[in-house]
Amino acid sequence: MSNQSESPNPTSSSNKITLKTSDNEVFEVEEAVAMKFCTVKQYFDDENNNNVTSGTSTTLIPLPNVESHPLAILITYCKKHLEIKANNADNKKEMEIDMEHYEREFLKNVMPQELTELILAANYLNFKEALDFFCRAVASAIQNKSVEYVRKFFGLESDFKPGEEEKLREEFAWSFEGVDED
Amino acid sequence: MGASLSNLADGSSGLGSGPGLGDIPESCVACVFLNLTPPEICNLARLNRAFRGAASSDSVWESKLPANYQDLLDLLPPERYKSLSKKDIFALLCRPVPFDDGTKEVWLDRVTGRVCMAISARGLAITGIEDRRYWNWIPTEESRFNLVAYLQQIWWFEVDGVIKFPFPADSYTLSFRLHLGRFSKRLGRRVCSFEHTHGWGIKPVRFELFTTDGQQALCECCLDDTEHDEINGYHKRGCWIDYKVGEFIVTDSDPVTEVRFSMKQIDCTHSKGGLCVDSVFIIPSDLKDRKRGGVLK
Repeated sequence: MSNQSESPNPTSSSNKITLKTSDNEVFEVEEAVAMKFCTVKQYFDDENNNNVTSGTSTTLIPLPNVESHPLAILITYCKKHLEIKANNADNKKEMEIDMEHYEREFLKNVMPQELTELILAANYLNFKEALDFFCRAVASAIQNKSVEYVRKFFGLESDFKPGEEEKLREEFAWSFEGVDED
Repeated sequence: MGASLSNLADGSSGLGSGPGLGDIPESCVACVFLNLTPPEICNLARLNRAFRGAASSDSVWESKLPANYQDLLDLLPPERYKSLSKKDIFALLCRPVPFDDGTKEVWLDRVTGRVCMAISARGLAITGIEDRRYWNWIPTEESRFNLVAYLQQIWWFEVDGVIKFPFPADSYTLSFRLHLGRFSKRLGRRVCSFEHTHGWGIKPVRFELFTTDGQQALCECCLDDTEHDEINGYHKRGCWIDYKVGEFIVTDSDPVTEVRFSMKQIDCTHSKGGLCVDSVFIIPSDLKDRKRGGVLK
C-alpha cells in the first residue's frame, strides 16, 4: 500500500480504502467511491482526526451490516455514477439523460427481491443517490398494484393483528371515495 | 473481487433466505412513498407496520401538499386543522373548501395534490341577473353548487368574474361550464326543453381572460350548431360542456395572482336565450386534459 498521506487528502482518487463486509469479504475501493458512502466517510474522517500523526493511509473499515453481494453492486453503481458525473461536468441535462439510461439498464439485471438488499445496504451506508434510485425502482414496481400482488411478488407477510388491517381500510377510505367523479 | 452487475442476472446470490421488502425500515418506505401518489400510498399502507407508519409520516405528506397549503387552510376555522397530521391535512384539503360565502370552492386533486377551483354562477357578475324576465336561478343537483343561472332571453349577454387567489406555481386552464336548454326530471328521467333556446348559432360568444401580470387569452365559440343537422339533430344541446377560455401560468403563489375573465355576446341585433350557466373551473392544465371525457353528465 502506498503510504503517501502525511496530510490526508479526501479528494485524491489514487488513495484506496479497504472495506470489510459482514461475510468477511474485503473490498479495496478508490477513495472517491468510498466517500460517497457517508457512513464510511464519517468513519474515515473520525479515524483521520484521531490518527493525524500516525501516518497510516490504509484504514480497514468494517461494515458489519453490509454483505458482499449488495456492496459489490453499490460500488459498481457508484463508480458509474461518478464517471457519468465527471463526463458531463458542465451539462446537467446530459448527465441526467446518461444516468437515466444507465439506471434503466441496471434494473434489467436486478431481481425485485434484490432491491431490498440494496436498499438496506444503501441505507446503512447512507449513500443517498443510490437509496433514492432504489426506492424509485421499488415504487415503480409496486405502483398501481394491489396489496395482495405486492405481498406475493416481494414475499412480504402482513404483521398486523386481526382487525388492524380493516381499520386501515377505513382510515384511508377518503383517498378512494369518488375517484371517478369529474 | 466480489460480484459485478453482469453476474446478477442469474439471481443466485443473496436471495431466498435474504431480507424481503418487509424488512426495510420505515424511513426507506417513506423514501419509496415519495415516488407514489396519495391513493397508492393509502392502499399500500395495508402491507405491514412499516408501510403503515410511513403512510402516516409528515415528511411523506408534506411532499404531496402544495408549498403554500397554509393559504388554503387559512380559509378554514383554525380548530378544523390545528392538531392534524400532514396526512389528515391532505385529506381535509381534498374535499372542497368553500369560501367567499360558499360561492367558490378550492380543493386538491387527490392524485397529484395540485390546486383546483370552481366558482359558482353566484360568484359571477351576470348582467341583468336581478331581472326575472331575463335570468332565473334553478336549484339542481347537476351543479356542484346545487344552483345554476338560467337565461330565458336577453340582448346583452355578459358574464364577468374576477378571482384573486394565491395559486401555487402551475399552469392553469380556465373554463365555463354551460348547458344549452333547460333540464328537469320527469318521472325520474332527465328531460330537456329547448323552448327558449335561440340565437347562439348566429354569432360566436367571446371568451376572455386577463391576469394582472399581463397574460391574456381570447377565444370565440358558437354555443349552438350553426346549421341544423337533419339526421343527428343538435350536438351542443342538452349536455354540460366545458368551454375553455384559455390558460395562464403562475410562477409563484406570492404575489397573489388575480385573474379577470368574461364571456360576452353583446350584438344587440338579435336576442339569445335558453342557456344554463353553472360555474367557472380553474384546473391545472394537463389535469384538465386527462379528465376530459368524464366531465359531461
